Amino acid sequence: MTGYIIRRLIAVPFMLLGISFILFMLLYVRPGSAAFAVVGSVMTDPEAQARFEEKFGLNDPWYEQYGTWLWNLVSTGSFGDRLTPPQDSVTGKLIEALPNTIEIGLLTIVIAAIFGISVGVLSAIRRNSVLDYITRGVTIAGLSIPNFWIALLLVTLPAGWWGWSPFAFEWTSFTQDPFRNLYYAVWPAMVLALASAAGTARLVRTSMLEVFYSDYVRTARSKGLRERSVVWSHVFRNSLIPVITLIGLQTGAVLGGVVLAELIFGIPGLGRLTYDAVIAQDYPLVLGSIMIFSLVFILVTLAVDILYTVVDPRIRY
Amino acid sequence: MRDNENYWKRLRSRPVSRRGFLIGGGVAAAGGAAILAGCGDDDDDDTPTAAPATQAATATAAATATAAATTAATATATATAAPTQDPNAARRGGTLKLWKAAEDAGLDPGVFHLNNTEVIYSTMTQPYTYQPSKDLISRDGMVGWEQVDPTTLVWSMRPGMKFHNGDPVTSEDVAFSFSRLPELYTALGATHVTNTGFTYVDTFEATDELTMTENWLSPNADALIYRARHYYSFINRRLVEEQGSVEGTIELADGTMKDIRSLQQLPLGSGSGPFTMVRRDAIGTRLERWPDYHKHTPADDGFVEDGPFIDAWETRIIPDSAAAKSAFLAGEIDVYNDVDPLELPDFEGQDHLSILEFPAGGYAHLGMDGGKFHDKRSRQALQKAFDYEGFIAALRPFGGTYQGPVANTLPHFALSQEELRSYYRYDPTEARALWAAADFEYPVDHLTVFMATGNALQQQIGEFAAQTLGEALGIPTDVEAVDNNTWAARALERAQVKDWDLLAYGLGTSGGTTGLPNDSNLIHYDPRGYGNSAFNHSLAEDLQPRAEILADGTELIGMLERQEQEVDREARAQLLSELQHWVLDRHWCNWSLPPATVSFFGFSSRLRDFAPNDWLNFYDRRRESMWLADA
Repeated sequence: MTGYIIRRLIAVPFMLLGISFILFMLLYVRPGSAAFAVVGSVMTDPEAQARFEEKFGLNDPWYEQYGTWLWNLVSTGSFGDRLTPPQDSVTGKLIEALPNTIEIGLLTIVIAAIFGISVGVLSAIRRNSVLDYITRGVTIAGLSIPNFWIALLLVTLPAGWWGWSPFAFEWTSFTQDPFRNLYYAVWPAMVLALASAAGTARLVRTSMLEVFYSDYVRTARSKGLRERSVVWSHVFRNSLIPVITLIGLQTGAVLGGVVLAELIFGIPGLGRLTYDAVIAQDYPLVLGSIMIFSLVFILVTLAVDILYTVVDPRIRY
Repeated sequence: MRDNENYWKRLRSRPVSRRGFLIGGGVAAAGGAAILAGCGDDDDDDTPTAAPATQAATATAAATATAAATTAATATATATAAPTQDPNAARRGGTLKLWKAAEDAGLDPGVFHLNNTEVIYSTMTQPYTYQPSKDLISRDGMVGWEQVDPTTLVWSMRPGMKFHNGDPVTSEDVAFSFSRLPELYTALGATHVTNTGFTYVDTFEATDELTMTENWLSPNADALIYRARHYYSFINRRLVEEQGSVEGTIELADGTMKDIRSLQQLPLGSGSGPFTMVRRDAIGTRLERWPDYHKHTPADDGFVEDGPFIDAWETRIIPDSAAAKSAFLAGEIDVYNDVDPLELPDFEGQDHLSILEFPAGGYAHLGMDGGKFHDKRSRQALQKAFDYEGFIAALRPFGGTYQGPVANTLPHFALSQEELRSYYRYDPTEARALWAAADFEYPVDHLTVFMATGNALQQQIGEFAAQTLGEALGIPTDVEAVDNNTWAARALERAQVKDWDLLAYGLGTSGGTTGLPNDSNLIHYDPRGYGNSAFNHSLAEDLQPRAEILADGTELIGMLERQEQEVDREARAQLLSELQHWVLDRHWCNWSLPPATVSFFGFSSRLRDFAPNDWLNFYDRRRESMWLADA
């Protein structure tokens, strides 16, 4: 197991290298120039653009630009400086924004897991009942409706109807004021959790129904075990592996969705930072933020693989 | 100010008594029971629960407003009896809450004026003059001026002014602030759209401690208004030199090289205005009233005694406009800009806010690539191929109007509707004939309308243009929409021929006016401004402009300079009329699509005496007499 984890961790830098290269090339071939964003509403002339590009090495061949960026990252651990004013450290901006995104992401996954598993279990236990039909309908709706639309409805409708909006307070970090922070963070997390919870619920239901009809469950029942023990010790636990895989994969969807959620709810997280950087063509910031997204996703996938061994002792690496 | 103390530290340091523990436990148990009970209840209960809460809030707000009014009345009555008390006490205090879509790229007032940075400048920094309305120029950083001769203006500065860090504002600082601008633009290699604010100035001199002299190359009619602009704010020279970031290097007349610095972060002490910035982060900005701002006692032109009334300005970053609208509806922000007329029903029945109607001061343009449309007939064909009345019917639900190079919000200088209609006339037959007869150095068998994404109305404008032009001229058309930054870069790219044909920009729905023709539409036609780079009418030799473009551009610059120099209002109106007819007759650069007749802005009811008409001009929002009813 330890050897497996070490092998996986050794592979992480190579995966990140590949991601950074592909990402860099995509940014490189994109039309437009960061030079305009730097001077705001000022119209630059070619000399000014050339000076700017020379200052930041933007007129170097692509392999030199990428090499310089990579060497800087490897040798100093720094993602470089932003191209847009005040041209401060990318790493500093990422450190500022990351905790907010991690918080939203974790909250989303927790809410999705709690609701998804509960609804899925209920639906499986009460299969073909009215409750089952309702939960199946709701989960299909949850999967079908885009989360940004739900977010917009959540933001706009209560404001028009009751004069309430999630913007009663400014965003405050958890360490400054946890209650205000949770008041603000719970809305985007619930919106993002909806689709994840719906997917989880459907998978939990299907997995549990599969296990319900397996031989060992029939054996457990014939031994005279109580239904509660059958459901929780035999059915639920054995149906968890695909659920854990799904929750792990949903991390990617949550990280993607967090961009829109942070924009709609005005949260200063990594998603909003990435969006602003893409619009401003601030490629060091885009590279830095997407590398962080990738790293988080890779680590979550590793954690899921490790979790398999906990849930199913038969799995060995 | 934000409390930066760690919550957990505060919690840990707080002793918990046995009684407190028991009370907390009891509350938690009761809360848990209530939640359990609530979970089993019917959702239908939500509405009656919410309604009393709303009513209570309304009642509280009404009571507060009544109390404030009573207090104001009492304060006024008391003031009559005892003159030592402040008659405006009830108006003082409170935080004005605004929003903007994105963080400011930078804060140097000489460089940036995007994303509501103007709120920061107009409150934090201080220029010579202050323009509380487009028809009024007040004295701010100076107490008087004298036009010694047509090219010499002498300013008397206000004594005792200080920057926010306590440094005195000296005439050296002022001279430095002004002289820095042309150097900054040279260093940036940039052309600011407001170049015309100082290109006529030869030197800025600090004559003595409290006197500044401007020597001009030519007379200028707009100097007083220009000196109310934030880019003419007084900047602390010491801070620029100590903390400024180097933007570039210029060569001085004696051959030496000089580093030119900007103040991107606007550190404490940069400005000397009535508010000082206490916070700027990814959440927004907060500016608080600076107690040492000079007093206008007794109140004088546009200022109130011991003003401003409002204590703080907060601007939150809300990237999504629907979310900002929600915050406005919920009373979390005080101003909601540029309300879409189709959204008006959403604001009905909301007592805590009001939607006000203004004459629309905006513009919507289609710019033409001067490289391709060098022949006047091709430009005329395009303009005659556009269905103006159809455009108004389709995209201006509250009516549309015609607009020339000087915006309709300056009626003294703008052309009449009849004059404009004679130029903007839809005639597909004539358009086809002109198109067929036109000379094209670079053949145009397809038209691309190029625009930025992100705004539904902009998309509709682009698509309407492509459709009407395609149908009238009988050639294929399409719309290319790209992100704003790519759009700007490609729009401004200097090339013999652009990779687009028509540039769609501006919504024609709102916008204020400063009272200056140059600040209105005119800058878009100016070969020294947007008319240069964006429309490829560059007069630069390296682009080898066509002879007719070069001749017309040179003639237009001469006309622009003459109207800027004309101080007689009537004579200037005549020059501007001639200039506009010249532009429209030559179909120069771009053409104005009919803007909306009215625009709508939302204001919270607690915001009082804010002069709605002037709010549209973003230079004028620092109105000292504004106050908040629930402060």
